[in-house]
Amino acid sequence: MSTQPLWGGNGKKGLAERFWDGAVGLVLGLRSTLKVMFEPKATIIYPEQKANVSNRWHGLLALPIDPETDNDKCIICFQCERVCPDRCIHIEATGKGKDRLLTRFDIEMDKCCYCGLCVEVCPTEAIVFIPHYEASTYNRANLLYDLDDLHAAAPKEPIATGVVRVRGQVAVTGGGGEVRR
Amino acid sequence: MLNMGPQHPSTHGVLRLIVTLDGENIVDVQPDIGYLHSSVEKMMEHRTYLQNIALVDRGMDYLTAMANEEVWVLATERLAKIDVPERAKFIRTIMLELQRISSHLIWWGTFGIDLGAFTAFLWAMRERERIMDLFEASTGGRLHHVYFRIGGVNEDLPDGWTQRCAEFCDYFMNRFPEYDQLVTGNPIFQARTQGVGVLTREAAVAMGASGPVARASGVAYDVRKAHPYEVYDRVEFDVPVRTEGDCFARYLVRMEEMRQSVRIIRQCLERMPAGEIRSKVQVNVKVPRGEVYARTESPRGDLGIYLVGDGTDKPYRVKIRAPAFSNLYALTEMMRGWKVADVIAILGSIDIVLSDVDR
Repeated sequence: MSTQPLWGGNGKKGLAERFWDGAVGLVLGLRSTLKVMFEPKATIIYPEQKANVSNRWHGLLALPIDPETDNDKCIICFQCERVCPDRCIHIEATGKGKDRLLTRFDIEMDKCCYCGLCVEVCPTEAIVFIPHYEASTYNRANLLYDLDDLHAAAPKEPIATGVVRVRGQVAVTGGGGEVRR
Repeated sequence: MLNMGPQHPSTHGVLRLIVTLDGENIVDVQPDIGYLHSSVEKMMEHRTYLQNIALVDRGMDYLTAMANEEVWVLATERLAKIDVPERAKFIRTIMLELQRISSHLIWWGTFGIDLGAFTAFLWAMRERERIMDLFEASTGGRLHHVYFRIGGVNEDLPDGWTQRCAEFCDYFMNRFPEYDQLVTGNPIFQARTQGVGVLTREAAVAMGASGPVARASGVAYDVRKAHPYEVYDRVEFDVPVRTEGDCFARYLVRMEEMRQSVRIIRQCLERMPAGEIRSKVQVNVKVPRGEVYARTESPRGDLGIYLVGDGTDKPYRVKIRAPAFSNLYALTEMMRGWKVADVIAILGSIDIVLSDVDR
């Protein structure tokens, strides 16, 4: 460094010029950080504020109750059980024809990879995703969802009418999207 | 001898580098990989073609799930000769380019952290969050989408999505000058990257480097131009090439790629036709006997899948050509002769994801 000339020549930059370029670069960088500092915050404070998720959100699975029949819409076709890549759905049924009864519908949520193939293949839309993303628990056994759990997990209103609004498009000037308490 | 990793914050995963030192100078570097090996290729033989879409999302490069899905469905469609509707092709191209931006943003942020610029990481995450929101609205997933299907895509774009996407493009291009001011123009950053870790053109070709790493060394090769898939032959974009081969050149190539991705997205949004998004394909699609090699340009480079079908609904053999693996082994060439302090800068500039290296 010490052998470099203070002022450059022959197309090469000298020490002083390089110092000046560096100082300008630093100041420009600091200026943009300063500008961003006074913009609205891009973060939300998670446990108190919760982000809205889209209505296609791959969250927990549920079997909503159909108000007309007062039962779920499952026709026991075993398609979701077969398509599941993790084999985390277990279905058992008794009876034949019209007396067919669902005796077991277990989903091991700890194995589930939330790929959505079961929701996709279901011919009656009996199994749906619910916009819920807080499934952590202290006990692994709590992640085994049986038929009652899956009925209870379903929202009272149908998903399509919008239990959860799609997260609003954030404005160009910043901001952390719509949040709700 | 110096062991760097496997648990080191700057190795972007679990990578062990065996660095042979002479004082402060690096004599040799040997990457020791395999800590994240999950035998994806074998697991794929036991799943149907549809189920494998969910697997390639997480089993391969977890930051570029869309690119993994793309190469898998592309291989399957070519072997089974399934047509993809025009609209689905455009949707796929938009998603792939959004994924490229989001992956490059992560790299930009972590590269900044590696070199001591923490602001870059926060800014990159802020922008990436909007891409994640776009993904979430159309696919339901933020990281693992399971969106592409054999013969199309799963669901059509929701109402107003194209508008949101266009707004994001404008927003992102407005932000871009700030990135250049913060990092590109920073003299400390330049001093640590310019001329550091030079990979010559010959070495890049010999080590099989691809993607931005090869393009920064003067190899003007992009699979999107050389073997176009989806609608890449119908949109205009430039392939940035630098000849310096140093860390700064790799940085500049990726920054320019993000701009080009926005350009591609804008063209696709403009020209996207209405219509079908998915051709009729069985759930348990049976793929005929035969073999195919499909290659795509993932954000990290040339990502290919060699697929052998045996007439059943499960693949007989799958081989994944991972770009990060080849790029990682070019590291030995880059590092020889540099100082210990440059290890992090050079490693950060090749943008590896260990789940892609080990698979």
